[in-house]
Amino acid sequence: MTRLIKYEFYKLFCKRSILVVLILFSVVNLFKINSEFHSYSYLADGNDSRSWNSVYWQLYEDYRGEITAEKINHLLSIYQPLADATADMTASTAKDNPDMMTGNIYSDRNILEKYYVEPMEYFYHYRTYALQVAERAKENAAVYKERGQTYEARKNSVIYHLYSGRSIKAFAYEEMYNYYLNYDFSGILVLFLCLYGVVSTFVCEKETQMDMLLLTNPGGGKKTTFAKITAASLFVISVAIWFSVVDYIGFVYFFGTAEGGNLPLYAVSNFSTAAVNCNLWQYAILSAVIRAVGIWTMSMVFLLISLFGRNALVPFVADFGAALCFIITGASQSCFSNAWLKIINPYSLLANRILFGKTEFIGFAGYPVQSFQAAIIFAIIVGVVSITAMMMLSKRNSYCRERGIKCLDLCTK
Amino acid sequence: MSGFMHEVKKIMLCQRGLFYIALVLLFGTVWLALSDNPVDIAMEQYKNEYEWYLEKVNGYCTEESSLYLEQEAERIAKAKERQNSLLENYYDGKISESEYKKESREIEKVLERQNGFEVIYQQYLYICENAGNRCFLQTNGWMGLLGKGTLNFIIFLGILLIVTPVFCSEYSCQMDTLILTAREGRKSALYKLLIMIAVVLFLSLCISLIEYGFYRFKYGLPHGDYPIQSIRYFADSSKSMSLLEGYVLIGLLRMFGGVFLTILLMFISVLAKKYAVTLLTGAVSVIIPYIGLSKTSIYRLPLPLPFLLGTDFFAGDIVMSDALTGDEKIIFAEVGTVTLLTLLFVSVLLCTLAVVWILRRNSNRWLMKSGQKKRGAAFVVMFGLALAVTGCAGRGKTGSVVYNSSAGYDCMGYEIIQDAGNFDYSLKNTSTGETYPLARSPMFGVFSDEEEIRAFYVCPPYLYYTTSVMESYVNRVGNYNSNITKVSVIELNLNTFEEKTIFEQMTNSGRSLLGIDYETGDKWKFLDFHLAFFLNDDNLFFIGNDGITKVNRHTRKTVKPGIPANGNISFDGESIFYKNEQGVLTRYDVSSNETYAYENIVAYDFCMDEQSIYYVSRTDGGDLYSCGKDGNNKELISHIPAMSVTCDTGNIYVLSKESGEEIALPKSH
Repeated sequence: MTRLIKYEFYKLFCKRSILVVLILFSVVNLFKINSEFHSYSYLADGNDSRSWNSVYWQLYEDYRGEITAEKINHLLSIYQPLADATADMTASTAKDNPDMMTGNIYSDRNILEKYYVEPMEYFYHYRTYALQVAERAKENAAVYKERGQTYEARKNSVIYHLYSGRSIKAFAYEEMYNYYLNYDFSGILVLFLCLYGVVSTFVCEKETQMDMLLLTNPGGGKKTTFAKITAASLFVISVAIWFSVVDYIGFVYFFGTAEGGNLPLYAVSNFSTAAVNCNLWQYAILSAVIRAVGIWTMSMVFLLISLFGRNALVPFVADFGAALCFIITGASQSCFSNAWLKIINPYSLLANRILFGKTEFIGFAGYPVQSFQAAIIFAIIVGVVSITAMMMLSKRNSYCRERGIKCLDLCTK
Repeated sequence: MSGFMHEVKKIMLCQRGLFYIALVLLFGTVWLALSDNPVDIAMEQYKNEYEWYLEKVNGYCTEESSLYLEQEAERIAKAKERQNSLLENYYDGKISESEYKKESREIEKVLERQNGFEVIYQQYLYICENAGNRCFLQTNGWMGLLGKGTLNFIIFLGILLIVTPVFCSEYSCQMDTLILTAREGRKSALYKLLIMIAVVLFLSLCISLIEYGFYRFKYGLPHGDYPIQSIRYFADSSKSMSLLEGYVLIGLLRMFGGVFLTILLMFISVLAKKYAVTLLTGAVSVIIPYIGLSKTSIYRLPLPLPFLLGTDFFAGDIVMSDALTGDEKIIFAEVGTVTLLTLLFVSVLLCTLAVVWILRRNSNRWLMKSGQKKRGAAFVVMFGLALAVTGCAGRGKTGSVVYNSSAGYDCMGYEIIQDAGNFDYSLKNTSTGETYPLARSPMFGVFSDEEEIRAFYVCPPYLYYTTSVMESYVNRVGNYNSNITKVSVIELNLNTFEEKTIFEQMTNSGRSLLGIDYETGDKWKFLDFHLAFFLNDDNLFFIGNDGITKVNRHTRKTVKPGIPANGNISFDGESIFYKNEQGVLTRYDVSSNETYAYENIVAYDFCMDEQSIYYVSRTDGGDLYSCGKDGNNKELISHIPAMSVTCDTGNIYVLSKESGEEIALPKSH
């Protein structure tokens, strides 16, 4: 069986066209990551001594690491006079002021405010906010227990355990991770590549009518189908992991740093109500795995659809249309509070901040299940159902058995 | 039958070309009808009033029309002022009824079209920015027709479906070599090309004409000869052309985009001979630049995409300033005529090269001079195209309860209180004194100041409240911005404290999806400004400064029934009671949309409970009366001149005109 899987993998996916598309998409992805850096980061203004980039990294050494009262006071002692001087917007707009780090008083205030004061303030206060949430959840759990609302009581108890003890103790650069976590473009590339790879899995043999011939082989029929599904699964998971690695390396390379990996996930302000307590680098790995699960599920559905096509045309357009629907509905519904919409849409696993960015639950037999857990379970169920359907719908190699035709392999053995 | 007709039969019938064409036209029309929203809701809602003014100022903004509008604005402002004093004088007995009626008729005449005037005045302000190339006209039709810079996915998928099998089907069964041995075999590729180009031109033309017909029928497309800058989408365009010319040119560009995509698909299919590769290249060449590149870059690439979009070739520069640094940033740089022509020329050249190569590839082999050259030519075309491609809740039944927007809430023994420090709302148990946060989610409002509770409505055992949440993910001017503002209606069961979201809506009119910006119109803008709300099983009613907006809970259709929000608004589950502009108590039946005015009840203020309406009579010097819901059985309750009245289950509360104190009167009084 391993040989059959290996053979199918080489036949279906070790093709020049796939390799070309993989390389092309990887390059396009790197270009896009570079453009993300230049579009969004204010630190992409070069290496001039008065650029924000230089000023930021000069100051960084003073403030990185554990947040202490001295660091906060020192930062405020620089920032507050600037904020006061620019409050009424009447300060000089000169861009070559030698007393200023960036040459301009407004620019100095802005860089300190955006890159130091605001994040430091958020990090410092996070513990209080989390404590407030934990206390509210504890109170809620008691109230619901009193009123016989077991599910709500359990849910609030989970929230309590999730938020109690949350704090951000150290200051670090988290901008790179913010944009990395909000980057969706590579997900679309992965989807295209997997669609291309997967759609030919069954139809390539139908186009050449090899499917009939395969049924005369003892290894044909359901065994081949299973081997194809396994090979396709390996392919899509590899592609998803590859692009996750390219994303991470690309972001680290273009932003010029991997600093901040040890910060907790909720240190990124968009993830303040994150569903898991893990570090940013751990989340990067988790995200890659979850994305692979999402891509695998979508690919299994694509594969099932392609089983009914005589050529790649209708399956490709149908899969492409379905993928577009998933993407458009997933992206447009992502902000809404209906967790079910996110759970049933595999796009949520591709852009998994939709699931991990918020603490959301659904009830299952009176027990609270976090939306990301439900989405993973649902995706795996859909994938397994698709595989079962493919196995059931694929033809058996009955021709070989009934007529007792022995294949060449068998004879030679 | 000629070879040409054989090809037509094969493409249209065997490869289901006709079926796909019909499908594209059907889906295209249905989607157009379902997804369309007027860009300017007020212009559509007050169409007659707006058109009355439009007739007077139609066309360019002249000195006369400018003067007329300024004078009209002054006249309306004065009339409003006069109306208020007239009412006061009449109800105070300073003028007689006949005098009042005579004057109010004149005032009403001035004010009867004030909503339409507001729309045209907004348009006037826009025109004043550059009066030389902007005209007064009904813009919703033209905005719908021209102001959508998004890709038509239906026609794109249709082209993929129709064009891909034309050559691929021959290659999959190796008919291509056999065809070349037939008498007209060598012309087969030419026929295929001609048929496909004709089909795509036909499809694009049909879609353009359907769009034209739809917008002409729904909103009207008047004055096609007015400058394109008359609609906001093309505000700063430097191109001098009329709206109709713009429509024709955009239509032609889209047709060319369709042909370009067709030729690209045919080229790839001849080159790769595989369905999957052809489809992937076609899809990637459009989708990846669409979501991956900025609009400015897209409109400078020799690809099918900019032509399929078309619209922004004629749009002007869009400049915005960075929120943090204040620097000005070009969001979209206008495509100059020379750039457009160059792009068109390069694209046509690429198409021609691709067509020549396709035809040569499908000629008999012995006609080819050299395999090397053939591959070389293919490489040149492929390289050109590759360069271009890479482009360096389910609801329970709502009970019946009488709602008064000015009265307090009877929350089944709870009181809604607001913390003076952090402005958080809580529920206080009036008997035990215990307090519970109103928003049951422990995370609500903790991490962001942009999460707030806006309004309440109580219908025991449920307490409904609206929340407004603003989220911002990645955000910098000029790039993909994920700013979201959403308003939700949440149902809280006061017995169990279970919470459920029954309505949720994003209110942003400009949105961004995977980097693609699009406009949804200002349909939901009113939610940002709502002050109170109430609901029944079928509808939600949001009270804003400019009146009530009714939202159907099933279809999400919004209607403005023209109910002013100038005082208390009551709702008994079936009808809305309110004071009209003249202070006359009026009832609006929410199911039949009929309005009935209680001519004998002119009130300073009113409130109601299940049985009665309590009102401070304006005609009787501020006395407090009660009457039945039908306006009969009028009874005097108090002689104390009052300014306002509210009530709860046991008492009526009046605010005394003389002492300014609140006086409680028992209902059994």
